[in-house]
Amino acid sequence: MNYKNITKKDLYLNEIGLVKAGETVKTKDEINNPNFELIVAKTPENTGENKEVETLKANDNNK
Amino acid sequence: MNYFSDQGYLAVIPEGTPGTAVIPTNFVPLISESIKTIQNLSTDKRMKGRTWGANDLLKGARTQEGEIAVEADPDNLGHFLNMLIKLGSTTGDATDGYTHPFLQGDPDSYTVEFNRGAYAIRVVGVQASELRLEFQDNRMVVKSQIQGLGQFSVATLGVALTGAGMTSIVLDDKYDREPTKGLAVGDKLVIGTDEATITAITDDVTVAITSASLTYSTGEEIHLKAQTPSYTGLRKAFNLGNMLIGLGADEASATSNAGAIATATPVHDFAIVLNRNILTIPRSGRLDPVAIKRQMLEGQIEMKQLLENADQRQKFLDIGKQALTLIVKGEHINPDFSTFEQMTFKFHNVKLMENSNNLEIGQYIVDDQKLEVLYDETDGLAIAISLVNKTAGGDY
Repeated sequence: MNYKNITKKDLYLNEIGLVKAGETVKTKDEINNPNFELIVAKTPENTGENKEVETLKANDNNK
Repeated sequence: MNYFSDQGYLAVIPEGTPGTAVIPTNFVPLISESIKTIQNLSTDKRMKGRTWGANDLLKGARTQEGEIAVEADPDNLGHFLNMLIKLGSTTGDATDGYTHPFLQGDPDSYTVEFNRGAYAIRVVGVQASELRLEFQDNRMVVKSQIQGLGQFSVATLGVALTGAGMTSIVLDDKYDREPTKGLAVGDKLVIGTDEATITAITDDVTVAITSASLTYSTGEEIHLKAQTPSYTGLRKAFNLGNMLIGLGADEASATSNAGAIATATPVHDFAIVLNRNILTIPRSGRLDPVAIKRQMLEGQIEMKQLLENADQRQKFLDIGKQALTLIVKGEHINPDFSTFEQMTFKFHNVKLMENSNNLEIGQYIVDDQKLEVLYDETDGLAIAISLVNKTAGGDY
């Protein structure tokens, strides 16, 4: 999982260490802290691109 | 299971509306806490022909209260002053430091959260009723007696969750008619072996959650998931050795004397107690208090100084006015070492309630003193407090 320090301060996390302001850190465990935002990698599933592809395929099948 | 107190944390944040939870993001290293939910339960002894005195416990008026002890580092001390007295307008900048004046007005309410291993407890609407600044091993420690308007820690599932696509959780109202009080959007609840993230506080008993597959019967225990604590570069606590105390006939004289070692008064022990004598407004549609109001401020100073002359004995017998200024400096703020963290307390009128000069074998004679902090009619105020640190005013 990737988490970004969304504050303007450098922050220390136990077991991880210093995460500078605005920096993204990769972790094995969840960080449950509103100072950090989970960065979700863009994939066809979460951007809706899959749906578009499927729609296009469906259109092709109708031809 | 985590049994270790040492893995606990304290997180604090000012609230926009007293009693409305905000997820706290300022983590403060904790020495101890003893916050309790006092339910004031009483036994149900109503006569029903039993052979035993009572058969149940009945709810009384509830309070959330206790003591938090932390080291008084310049940044985090500001939060505890802000829970007790009003923060004025902050001036300054990041380079030279921010100056925060604290005034005799209503403070901010805070959301305060602790991790207690098996669950996290969040207390909302927190204000300090009393603040004690003392020194332990030369380091300044702040002990804050707090009161809150409600808590969330552990709750009970009120309506069964039946599988895929669950988007809300209904809490039982056994503890309170508003069991969702203390929760905020973004909180994570632990239910059984699952977790749910709150997307909205729907009403007094219902929270909306991100869609999840959850299967649990009514009565299942639900608790607030502890946060992963994060810390800024913590500053060192104020130290007794870096404190100068000036005594004088008035504030100007006391402050002048506190400006140099040569004119300052050396002290062995020193403590300040500020008390707001708070009033918790009685329940109105709620078992917890609905508001916390301050009454008249009062304060005491405890200190010991070597008996150099009979001046303090005279002041005690004559109930003579003195002024006392305390200036304690911390680490530098400006990289050129031109500005420092600093806490200043100016007491415009203090008088000795007690002044003992006891004789004990092998001991120096000291003025063992308790001073009452009084309103000064000449200056038109009792105390003036300022804190210089690296924290911007918006964080308090």
